[in-house]
Amino acid sequence: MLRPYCRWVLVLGLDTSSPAVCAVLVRLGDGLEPELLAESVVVDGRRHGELLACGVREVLRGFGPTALAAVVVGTGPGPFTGLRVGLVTAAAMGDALGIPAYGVCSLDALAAQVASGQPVVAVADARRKEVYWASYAAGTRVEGPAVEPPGELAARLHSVGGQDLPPVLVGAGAVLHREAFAGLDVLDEPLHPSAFALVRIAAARVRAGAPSEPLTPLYLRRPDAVTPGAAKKVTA
Amino acid sequence: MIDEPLVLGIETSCDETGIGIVRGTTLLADAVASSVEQHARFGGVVPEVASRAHLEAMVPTVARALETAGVTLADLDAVAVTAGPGLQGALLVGVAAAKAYALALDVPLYGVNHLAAHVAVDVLEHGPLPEPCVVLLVSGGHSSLLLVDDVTHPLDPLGATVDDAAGEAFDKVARLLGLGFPGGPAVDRLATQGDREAIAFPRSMARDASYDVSFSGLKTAVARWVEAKQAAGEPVPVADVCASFQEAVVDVLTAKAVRACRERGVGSLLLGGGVAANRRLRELAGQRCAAAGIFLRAPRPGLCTDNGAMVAALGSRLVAARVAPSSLDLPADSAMDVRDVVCR
Ligand SMILES: [Zn+2]
Repeated sequence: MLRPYCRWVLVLGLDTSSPAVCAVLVRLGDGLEPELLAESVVVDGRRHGELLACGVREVLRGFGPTALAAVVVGTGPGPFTGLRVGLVTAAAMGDALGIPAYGVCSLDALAAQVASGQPVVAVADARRKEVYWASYAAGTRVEGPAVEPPGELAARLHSVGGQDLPPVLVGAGAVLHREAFAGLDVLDEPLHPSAFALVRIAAARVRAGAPSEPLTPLYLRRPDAVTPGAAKKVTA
Repeated sequence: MIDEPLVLGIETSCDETGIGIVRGTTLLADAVASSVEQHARFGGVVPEVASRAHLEAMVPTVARALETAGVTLADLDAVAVTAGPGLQGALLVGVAAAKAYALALDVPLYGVNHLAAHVAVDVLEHGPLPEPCVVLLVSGGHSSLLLVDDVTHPLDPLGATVDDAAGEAFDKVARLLGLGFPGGPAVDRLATQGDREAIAFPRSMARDASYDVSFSGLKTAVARWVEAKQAAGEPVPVADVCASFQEAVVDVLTAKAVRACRERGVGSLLLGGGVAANRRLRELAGQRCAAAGIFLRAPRPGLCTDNGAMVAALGSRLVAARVAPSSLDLPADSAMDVRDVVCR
């Protein structure tokens, strides 16, 4: 059915917090469900910098960047190098086009991709035998994001019991460390945050024309750096 | 537009977020945000700290450069960015930003070689490069002698350091003497109060036929000398050590550069890189070039250190020379070969 008075805008969504380098073009209309117009996903954890801009160009084909009204990007947590590619791309595109850029925790998107009445724990691979995680009840984040070994997260989840429903775990971090999460409900998919889910989460801000946000990555870890001691002796 | 293109240059290969704006060969803006203070307590550049700082500084530094230049992003004809060599994670922030600007503004993207950009920057100050020329590029990350016919064509590497970069040697000696990081400016300053002939530090590879240099042995010799003083309970004459060490470095560098000019029949020497801001290097190069009848060019110190203007300057030359731009899947290449001026 035609809606002659319906206003809509185009939104670019990006996520580089996982090995899935993801760009989407979404149409947001007043009173309409967000509509996914185009999506580019390439899974390659080492080539975010090479893949993302090509993905953006691909989803914008037929519209062009000047048609965009906003950019939404996943702020992680995730491996730093890839994460920064998405954030700086969103910031620079927002700057170049004079449109607002919004950040959304990537784990929020991952959790939102699960249709479940149970509590959800979104778990991403943090490498170094650790996971990034956050927990959700009724669609709202209640804990996290945090980073810790999967065994510690599992112990935490086993210890909450009683009247609560058991949680479902979602994400590549949960699948990778399935053994550590034995006895808990681990979904096989989705593995990674989708940029479409990010845009849905930010839709209210986009519709309201909220001001652009500083895009701050959720690193959750300090840089690896050691303060040097005294200069080493070459003699002696 | 093609002869006087307006180009944005982005440089993030190390710890400076450099944004330059150039029209043709005219410098309009050179904005730099440095994270050097965040690295000082680590005694050297920490790659992850540098990368984080680049992300934070990128858009504000672009805004600052545009304001200084009095232009808008919509006026740009091209975007150029350092694609390598440098710190991989740091390069990647600049390359991703450059792609986003180029894509959003629908202008060509040039992923350029950092070393070639150090060469091209002098056009902003002294006009077209004397071609051919020999280029002495010295910094904390590189020490190279290059033969340049045309900066938009592959550069010919004549020699390089076989171990430490010249700037690295300055940093290490400064640390040994407790002068902090970065070491170059501190050593340069103290050396003016010292005697450069006080201590005869070795000149490694000074007499061999190659154009390569080595600073690892010199650094060790300085450390041994200082430790011997300390072991004997004598005060370390810091200014003399600085002056004598610095003299050993610049003696070898300028001797090799002048010899390269003579042997290659090239009448011009160009200095570049952070160490080219060193006053004694500029002075001795000046004396030796004058004696040998070689024309010396050196950009002002602010253009020798890493900056975005040099990237924009090279980008502008590439547009004017009608060189094909890079593709959108351009990688950041931490080990980019000096013979590649543009990364495809
Ligand atoms: Zn440099």
